[in-house]
Amino acid sequence: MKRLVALLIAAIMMISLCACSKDTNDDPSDSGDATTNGFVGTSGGGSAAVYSAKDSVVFRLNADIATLDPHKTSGTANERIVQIQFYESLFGQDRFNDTTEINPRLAESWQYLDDEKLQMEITLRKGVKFHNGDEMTADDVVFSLNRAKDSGYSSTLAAFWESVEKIDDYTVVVHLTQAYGAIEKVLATPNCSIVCKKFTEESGDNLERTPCGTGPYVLSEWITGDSVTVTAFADYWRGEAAIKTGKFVIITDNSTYLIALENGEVDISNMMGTADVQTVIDNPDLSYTSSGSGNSGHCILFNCGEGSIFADERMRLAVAAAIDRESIYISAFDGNGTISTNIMSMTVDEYPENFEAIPFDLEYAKQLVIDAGYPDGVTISVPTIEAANYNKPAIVIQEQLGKIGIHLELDVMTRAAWNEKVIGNSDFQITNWAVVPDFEDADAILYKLHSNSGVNFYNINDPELDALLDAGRALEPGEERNQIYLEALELIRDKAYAISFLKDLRNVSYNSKLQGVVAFPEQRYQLFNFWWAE
Amino acid sequence: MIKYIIKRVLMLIPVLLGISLLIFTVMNISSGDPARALLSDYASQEDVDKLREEMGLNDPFLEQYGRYIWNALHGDLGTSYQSGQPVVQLIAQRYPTTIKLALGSILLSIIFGIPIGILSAVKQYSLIDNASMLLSMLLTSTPSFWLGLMLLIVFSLTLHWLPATQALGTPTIKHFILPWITLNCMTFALLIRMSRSTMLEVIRQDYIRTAKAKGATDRRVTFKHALRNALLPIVTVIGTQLSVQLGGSVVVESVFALNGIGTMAINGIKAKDTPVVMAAIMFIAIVGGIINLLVDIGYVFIDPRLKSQFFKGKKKEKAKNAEQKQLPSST
Repeated sequence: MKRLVALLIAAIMMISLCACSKDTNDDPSDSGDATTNGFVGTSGGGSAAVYSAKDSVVFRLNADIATLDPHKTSGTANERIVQIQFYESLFGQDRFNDTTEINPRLAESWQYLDDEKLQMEITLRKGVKFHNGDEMTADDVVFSLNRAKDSGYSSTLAAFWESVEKIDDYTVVVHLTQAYGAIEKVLATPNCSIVCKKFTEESGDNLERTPCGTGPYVLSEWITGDSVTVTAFADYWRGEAAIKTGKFVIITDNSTYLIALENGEVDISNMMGTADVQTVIDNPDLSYTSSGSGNSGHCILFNCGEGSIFADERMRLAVAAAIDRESIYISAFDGNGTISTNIMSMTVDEYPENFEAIPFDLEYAKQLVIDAGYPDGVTISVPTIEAANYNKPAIVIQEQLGKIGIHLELDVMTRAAWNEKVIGNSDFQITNWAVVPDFEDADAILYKLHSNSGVNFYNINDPELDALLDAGRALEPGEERNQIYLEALELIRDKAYAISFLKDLRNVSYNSKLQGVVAFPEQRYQLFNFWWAE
Repeated sequence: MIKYIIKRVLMLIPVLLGISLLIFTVMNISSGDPARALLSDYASQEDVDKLREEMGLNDPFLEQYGRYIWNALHGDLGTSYQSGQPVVQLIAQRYPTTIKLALGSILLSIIFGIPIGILSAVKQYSLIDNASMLLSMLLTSTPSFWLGLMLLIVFSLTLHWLPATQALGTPTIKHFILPWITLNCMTFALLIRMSRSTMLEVIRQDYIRTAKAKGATDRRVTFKHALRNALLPIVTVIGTQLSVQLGGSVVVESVFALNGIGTMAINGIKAKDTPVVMAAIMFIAIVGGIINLLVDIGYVFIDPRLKSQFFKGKKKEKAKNAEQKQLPSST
């Protein structure tokens, strides 16, 4: 009897181990160029067991949201997705043919009043209603942009303008602090959303849970930690949306999300586990699409200030020469994403094609470490964020740098602790981070390395780099701007200020019958753009 | 009895004060700046300092703690740094889910676990006994995360009998069945083993043999004589498990996308949302204290010896009073 029981237990354990395995294609080379996306393209078709009504969508978020106030938010992807259902900015971001276009939204037209491009006159669209029925006027625009400027959350963006002046009910002039080639992109961000002045003042400046914007949806219900339900705004200026009801549900676990998607309980999400991509592609009732490359670039950053061993350029170059990007791409990211050689976002005009990084050369790297005065190697602590997309590459980098005598001790911590230690106190020597710019522009990413950027926690003080960045931000998109930023990237590479190794994918998985879905690097998914196929 | 209950409730106060001071201290000294966590990564130090000042985070530690306790005594457990909502409201939104999860799970464990344990003891070394021990061992070893996902794949995705999440429609009992089964497993296994073990100990006692010798039926012996004596440790286990589950189950809440107190506490810790963490932990402590009190009261009614001592004490007092009334006056 006892022997029978033991055999039974062993059999059950073996079955459970076998049941967990799945035949997956993990070789990125089978899906095309190994240096590009692991999974590209869409799948779809077939009949779907559609559980939701044809005029409603259930959108999954992978974390709770804290606020609906567009000016007072840290701007997590989940928050932005919900906020942009209620609010719009003077300009909007639309995605066509793998390109993000900036188009006028609440602004009807604009022009510069001076040759220095410091006075930007904007004519507002007439007849646009807020959710409380009031018409949007210049007073609301002035109020909103001032509110964004005064808010500690949006002030880095709002630093681009000094003041906003009302000319008449439908005309404002934005007085810029400097000529800025990408000012429309700044004004297109959700941080610069236009809110109703009257409603905001009456609510005591509290828009955290009571949004009032010009967007296509109004808030119906918000259960903290559970879901946000929105309904179509009948008086929306572009016409009432085809999707009448949207429900943003919070499902933190990726496996549970996938089951709910396959079950028809959820219709779409912009976040999913990389290991689940093939499951979605293989299911004829589901579709998958990706942006090809996202705006987030994973990179290694150094503290270049006094007291840090990476103040020595040789040590930084040693790291640059010891990084095997292919290994990180496969081991840490399961072959998802795009191997990256520079920190510029791939979706901006200024992105340089075929940019070469410091060549991988372990012997050269070892020699640099010896020349820097560490013949016996050196051991340093590395703060790294606990989330898998930071922790896993940190582990791979730890192994790689160990080969050249730089021994890393990973100090895994929460995001809040990392923020305080690294960004707040510059208490680090080397770390890894994903750079997410406020908006898609070369300046938005690279200016963070300027010595006067206000976020120079890496203590870079390079007058040559500063001069290039100052020159670049004043220029409008064009060849001259491209050249400036190319030189800046070369300088950053040659001095190894930041070592980029991967760009994330922005992927979307959804019910095949849901139309209008495109992958958005900036993750501005508006229900207004969706509809159900018959 | 009333005095005992009041005494136990009053004892909770210093416990809560101690817990609140400990948690407040830990949250203050642990790394992470809640103001910086709220602002964007690129916020300037000036903006961070301004927000810290607005949030009162620059005040001395004792002043902050004193302010918190003073407000708590007036029913204000603070406002969440993250959401700006009163913490009491957050707990009120989430606790019903946690209560449903915990109570349902414990009920399932009691309804199935105790009878199986009793049967196992009465039919020791039989097929039923061996099967229940095997089941108990399997359930103890199975990670709840894995079990939850397997149940979802089988019952939700494959058979479509039960929903995976509460995304569609209003939550009903069927949304809780799989979470109950997942959460209940450990307690179920524990109750089987505990019931079996205590019953085995009791049925070997002399008074059980006496009861059988006097002609009592097996049913009467088991349920009237044996079970009652075996119940004390079982009730202790039920109380402990209920306390634990009412403290929130992060794994089950995460797998089934349930909005409970466990995920609220964990998210609060990660974001250094001190008011949320303080309130969640103190609330759990209060619930734990109340459950322990209820268990202790339950002992009085279950154990005849405790009950008789309690009533014996009362009889003595009554007899003394009657004696004093009957004594002649000394004058």
